[in-house]
Amino acid sequence: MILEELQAKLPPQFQPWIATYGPAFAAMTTAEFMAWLQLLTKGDVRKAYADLLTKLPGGSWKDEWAKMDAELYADNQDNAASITLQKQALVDVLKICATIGLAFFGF
Amino acid sequence: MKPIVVGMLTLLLLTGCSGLMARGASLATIDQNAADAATLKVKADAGQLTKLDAGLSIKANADKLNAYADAATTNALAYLFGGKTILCNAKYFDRLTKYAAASSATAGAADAGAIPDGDLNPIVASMCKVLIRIKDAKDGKAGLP
Repeated sequence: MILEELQAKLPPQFQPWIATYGPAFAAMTTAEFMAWLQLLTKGDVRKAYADLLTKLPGGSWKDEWAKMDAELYADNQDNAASITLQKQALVDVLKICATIGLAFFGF
Repeated sequence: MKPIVVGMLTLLLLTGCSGLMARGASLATIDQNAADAATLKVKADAGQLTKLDAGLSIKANADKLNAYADAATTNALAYLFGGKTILCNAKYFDRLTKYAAASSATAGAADAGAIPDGDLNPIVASMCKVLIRIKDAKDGKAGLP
């Protein structure tokens, strides 16, 4: 089965995933796919993912690692922004508490 | 009144918490691995690693990334009372699992000679950056581009 046929068989939300991982399944034999499926059902997610990546034809590990580095950098930016937001939220709440306290003690 | 107190306590508990936290052995290991990765990255960026050294570095980095995935959990109870030493949100957990899998596959490909020689140094450099970024995640920093 060629990738276009696979794309036609699956709903639109699968399309980006087919573009990325479809070639790996196209490179597998039925027996290899059954073995891969077995890994997944056993819960060996890491081995299943490693096997899938190994089957990606013509894939450049150099590009894959550059992509993974970029995605982690983006995640870390979100993480750092979220921490700043949490700290700011606490400061805002404490400012309100201080205002209430000042009013209570008549300052 | 009660919801306000609960909200305040939650805010206090969560303030400044990173999506990836570490304790015990992992805390020191993440820092040490990042420091080692920074040193190795300089050599990899300069293309100074031989094919053999690059292969060994990929394998060593894969072992480190697999150790992170083994130590990681999204369950706070497993982190506090179980043997897990890295607590992360679902996104970071997914990343650590993915990097462990990808690093094992990369090490296997390098071992089988399936990676072009010219790609080995850049792969080591990117893996080193990932190890440094995991420390950044733990420290709640955005890190360098």
